[in-house]
Amino acid sequence: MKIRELTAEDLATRLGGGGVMLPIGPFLTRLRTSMHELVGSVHLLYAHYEVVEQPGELIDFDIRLDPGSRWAAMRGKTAAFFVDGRRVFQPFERTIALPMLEWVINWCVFTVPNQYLILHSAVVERGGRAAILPGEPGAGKSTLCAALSHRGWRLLSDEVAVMRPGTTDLLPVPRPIGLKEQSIEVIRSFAPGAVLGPSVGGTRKGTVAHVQPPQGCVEEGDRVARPGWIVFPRYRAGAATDLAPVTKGFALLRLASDAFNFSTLGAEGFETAADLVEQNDCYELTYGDLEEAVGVFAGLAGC
Amino acid sequence: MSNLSSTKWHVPPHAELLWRVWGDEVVVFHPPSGDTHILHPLAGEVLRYLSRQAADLQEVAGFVASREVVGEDAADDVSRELLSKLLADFDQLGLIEPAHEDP
Repeated sequence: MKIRELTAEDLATRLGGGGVMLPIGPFLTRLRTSMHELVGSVHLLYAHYEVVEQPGELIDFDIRLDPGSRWAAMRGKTAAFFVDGRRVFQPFERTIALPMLEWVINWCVFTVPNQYLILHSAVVERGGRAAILPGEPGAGKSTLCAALSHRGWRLLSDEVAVMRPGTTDLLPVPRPIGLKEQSIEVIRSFAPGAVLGPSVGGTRKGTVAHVQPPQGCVEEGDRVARPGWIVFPRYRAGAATDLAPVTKGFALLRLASDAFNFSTLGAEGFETAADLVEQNDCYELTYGDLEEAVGVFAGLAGC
Repeated sequence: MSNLSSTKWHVPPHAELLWRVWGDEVVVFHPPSGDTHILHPLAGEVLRYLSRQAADLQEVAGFVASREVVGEDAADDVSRELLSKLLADFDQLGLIEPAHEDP
């Protein structure tokens, strides 16, 4: 059964009780919360996810979001997260619970599973080859990723490139795509069919909103992709579109410096990342126009 | 820091450096620190040399002068001062250490 097939009341009951178990790529995630204001957003953003019904499955991330104590509420901090039963962050404003939920799931993916090499990168696939888009915050990778995923590219992730050490096949981890500030309206305009959750102000990143991952991406969430290109996006307002090759050494250092567990994995991490760089063409894409940038990717894919 | 000119240096045997070479780019991974470095080809040659054997500054200079990849003319330009700084940089990064002879 998919999340969308549950009524909002049923979803609220499950979230407030034993929780809802969602397969997010290779990670089985149990989500529990008694905060009713989140139900509608979870219902929307995770609409296409299969609900895992079997009790006894091994849970990778056990996430609970609870309203804070009365004392915390007096200080304006009215919600808190628990991962695997432990409170992992300071309580925060209840109004930003949705972006915090998405951030905490990201945090779990970034920090918990060391059986995978995890690079900080968006990944989309078309015609059997994946484009890897590494980038620091502000580089425009999520905006580009949201645009591509509504122009024929399959979303694997807007945040992580996940590989098993020893192979460069990319595992999908489809999640809602986080957008901030002007990017929200840019995507509304670029892809009118995109389904967005509510815009939430007052976060550390300003106003944020999330794009529902397209249905096909979620349903193909266990189909790995072969890498094809590594493209470092660089958004500059008003910049001309320019796709320039970068050297493999430069690409590897950029990937390594922004990876989550490259050093932890040691030799396995290095060899896998180096294989990834060696096997694929590497570029830097400077862009100021989203339509043109999407056209560059179409050119790479030969479509 | 040890006296660079008289000290024999080597890559610690347990370091097990990993290498990738793409054209003029030499990338080395240092498992003990988890750091990745991109090196000039000459620096890569020197580090490989020190991973095979211990050597002092004079021996390193002799090795550099003998390398066809550098060429004799270029070797003349590679001053002791430059090599001394290279060894100091390697030392600071933990890529090499003084080699202590067995008693």
